[in-house]
Amino acid sequence: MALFKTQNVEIAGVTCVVPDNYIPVENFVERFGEEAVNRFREGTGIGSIYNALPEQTAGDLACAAAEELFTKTGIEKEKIGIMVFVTQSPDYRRPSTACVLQKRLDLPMECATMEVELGCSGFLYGFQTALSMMATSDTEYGLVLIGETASKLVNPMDKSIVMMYGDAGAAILLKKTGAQKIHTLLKSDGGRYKAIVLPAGGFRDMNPTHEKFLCSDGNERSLYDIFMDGTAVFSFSITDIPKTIKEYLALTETAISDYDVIVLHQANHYILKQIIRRIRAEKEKVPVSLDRYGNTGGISIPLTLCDKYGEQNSGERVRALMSGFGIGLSWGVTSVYVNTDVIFPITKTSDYYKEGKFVPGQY
Amino acid sequence: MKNREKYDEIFCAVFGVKKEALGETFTFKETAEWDSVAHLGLISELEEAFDVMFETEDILHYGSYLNGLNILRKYGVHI
Repeated sequence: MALFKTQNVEIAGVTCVVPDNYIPVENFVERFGEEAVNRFREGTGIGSIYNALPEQTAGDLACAAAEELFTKTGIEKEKIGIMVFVTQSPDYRRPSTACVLQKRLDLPMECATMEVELGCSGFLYGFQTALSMMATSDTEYGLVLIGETASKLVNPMDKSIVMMYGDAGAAILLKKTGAQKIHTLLKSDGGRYKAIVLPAGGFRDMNPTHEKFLCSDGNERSLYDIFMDGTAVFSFSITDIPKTIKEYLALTETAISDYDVIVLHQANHYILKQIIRRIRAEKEKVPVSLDRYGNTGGISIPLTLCDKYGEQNSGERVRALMSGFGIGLSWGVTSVYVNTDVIFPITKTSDYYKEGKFVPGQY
Repeated sequence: MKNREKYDEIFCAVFGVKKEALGETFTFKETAEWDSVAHLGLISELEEAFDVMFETEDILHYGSYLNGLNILRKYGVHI
């Protein structure tokens, strides 16, 4: 069992950014018809998303979130000894975008950087990776960055997901401190890797045809477009996730009522509703951000925290239970005590890294 | 309201169809409106209305109006 126990680290800052490109689902009426759009909105609870600008990358969104974090917390960058970047939309095929971000953010050479390639469970895995690295090193501060631009990988005619994926970036500062114990339970099931898949572009099938074909759900896609088996993902989300949350509660000898807030990956309205019902949580304790931001993958947990607590300055210390789940399949549960004063409002960005574009013959 | 009426109403509301459309041919494969989003809605509405929690296998195989009746009966719903 992958139950991690980490001591003496706490969350010292959370920031999130979305691209300055607001897209209400009504914009899709011309493409899919009013009835289909209304049905989507009612079914998923998603009313709008923010999509990355053509030039913007996951690295740009994470960079903007990190810069915001540095401004808000006043952290001295020299003290950051670990940086973990989570994405499935890297800026380059090689090198790791984590290294590029280290340069862009002026992090010291003494800072160990690495990338975690996961989607909707990415916050949980990135968080635990950084916690574990901090627990076994002398570093005082660690940084988890998450960036995603999944909207760029969707067939524009795929009505099942084109209105669902929002792009965003997040930055979470971790600090060695007091006596907080953090338990994290992580799981994965590669047996279901085909449930959400983008087949082309990797080294298994690097340059296949761009020809479109009809998929089992009636949508046309090419091998370069994300495919999601909606029914399989739904059943995974509403069976494995509540079961794992209950297992986590048993392992940590806590009850759902012990937590002030339960932050779930913002997959869609029905999935949230079903998980809430199955873990017998009070729905008032489960904040929702997907109605305005859509499904932002691994960013959705920090984004929901920023959406709920970003504007508050009450000095409240809350106990948060968090669960992320998705592509892989991969999922996990963790919990922390966090001061809401270190959770900052969501900001927008249209920035991108102009120097990051390579020009043939000029390098 | 009788359970069968409740069942039909849910199908009509989720798929935006009239009661006359419901029958043997109302299946996932043959109904254009029965996409993954509608499937989520259907399962959620049925679970709430009949106070049941479907097993994974039943969610995956809830592929037709008629078969759905049998699945609900397995959970003790008189329909």
